[in-house]
Amino acid sequence: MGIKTRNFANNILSGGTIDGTDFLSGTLPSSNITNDSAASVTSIPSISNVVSSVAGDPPSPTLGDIWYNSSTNALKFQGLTAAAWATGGNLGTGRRLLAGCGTQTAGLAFGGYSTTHLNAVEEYGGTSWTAGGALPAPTYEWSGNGTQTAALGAGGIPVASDTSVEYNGSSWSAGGTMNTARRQTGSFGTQTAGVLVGGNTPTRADVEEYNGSSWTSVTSMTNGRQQISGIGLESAGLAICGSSPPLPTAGVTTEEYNGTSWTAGGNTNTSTSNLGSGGTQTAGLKFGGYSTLQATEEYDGSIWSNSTNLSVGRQELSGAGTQAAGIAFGGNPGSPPFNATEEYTTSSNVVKTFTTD
Amino acid sequence: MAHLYCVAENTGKGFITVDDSRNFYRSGHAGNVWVIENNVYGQAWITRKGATTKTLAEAQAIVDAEVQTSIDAWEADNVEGETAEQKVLRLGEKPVIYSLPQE
Repeated sequence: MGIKTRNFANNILSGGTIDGTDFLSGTLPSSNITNDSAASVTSIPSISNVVSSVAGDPPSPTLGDIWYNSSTNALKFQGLTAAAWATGGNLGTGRRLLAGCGTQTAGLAFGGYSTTHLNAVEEYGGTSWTAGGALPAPTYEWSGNGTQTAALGAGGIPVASDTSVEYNGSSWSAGGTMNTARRQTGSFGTQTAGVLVGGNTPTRADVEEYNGSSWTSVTSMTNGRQQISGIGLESAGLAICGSSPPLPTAGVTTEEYNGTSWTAGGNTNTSTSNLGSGGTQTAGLKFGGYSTLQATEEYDGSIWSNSTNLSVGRQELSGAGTQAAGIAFGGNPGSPPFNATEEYTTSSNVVKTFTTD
Repeated sequence: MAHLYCVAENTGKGFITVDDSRNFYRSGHAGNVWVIENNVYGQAWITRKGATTKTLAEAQAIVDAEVQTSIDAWEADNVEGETAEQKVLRLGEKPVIYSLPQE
């Protein structure tokens, strides 16, 4: 028969009284399995059997819990506050096809394309962007990972696309040379344990790891793609969406990396390429990108769930941070300006009070 | 959901707050056009930001003009010998005229 949820209609005792002693958690009487209405109810249990009266709010209520706070004479419940995107400080130089990394309060935007390719770098402090050390050469269509004070950028154009660069919080230095030149890549991990995935040209499935000085080719993804994004660590990473020919064909595929091999992750709800992302393999966040532009989704390690949309839809953006506190910056909304920043706050449990006003 | 249309420059941090995001639908478009949910919170935000209200037709015209400028620029930006796919890789997808959200 499968799982049958207990409710008023199937928790009726003899005589038409609803069982208030165990309410929704007790054993379902076989005689009530076929009940599909409460037509025979003659009385219901006291509210005190369903809603507890307590002197204060419970320390760790579960989502959906209801209680009566006798100290404040208020009927309360554990509810959910929706996720939100709020505007952050605008980039000093609007740009798309940039690289980024860091956190919502210590972010880094580097390179990209405005009306030309850029070597400009900006650091985010949670309120505004300030100039950082300039890149050795203008670069766009690339990816970055790490932190604001230990960042890694790799590939891209118009530089030789097998180069990488390292940032120490104030200046850039040359990193190791990749085994395969590429652009439109995704990346994740740290400056000394980084992973670069996908890219083109042609569309690539191969993967390289960086140890802080040199790149090593490792196990390829199952699905080749470009305009891809990555989150997480070298030992627990996630490659998200991207496109494959004929363009524009955005995908829903994700793949999980354990430091050695790739396995299929959950499909996203929206087909996406040129997207932004943040978080980890088990608490991921993706946002923006072609072609849905505003869509945001959260990942729990197996399933992607739709969340609150970006205010400004865009593709070719960058992102950083965590699922709880993400950040989206730059990108192409279809026409200038390309300088908008948005800060993400995930949904959270919160104690709410029933009101009658 | 009913919408309001306005023009306001995104000034950055605090322009749209977490509470704003939770209290009303909002989407930003070319030409600093904003589509805002028509509820008490959305109306208050428009007042607070000093936004210039527009009709749907006026807002759509602003967006169309901005996007058309981007389309013209995209079509004019060519590299000799470049394939269509290479152009998309270099410039991104060609911008398209689209309709603002309506009721």
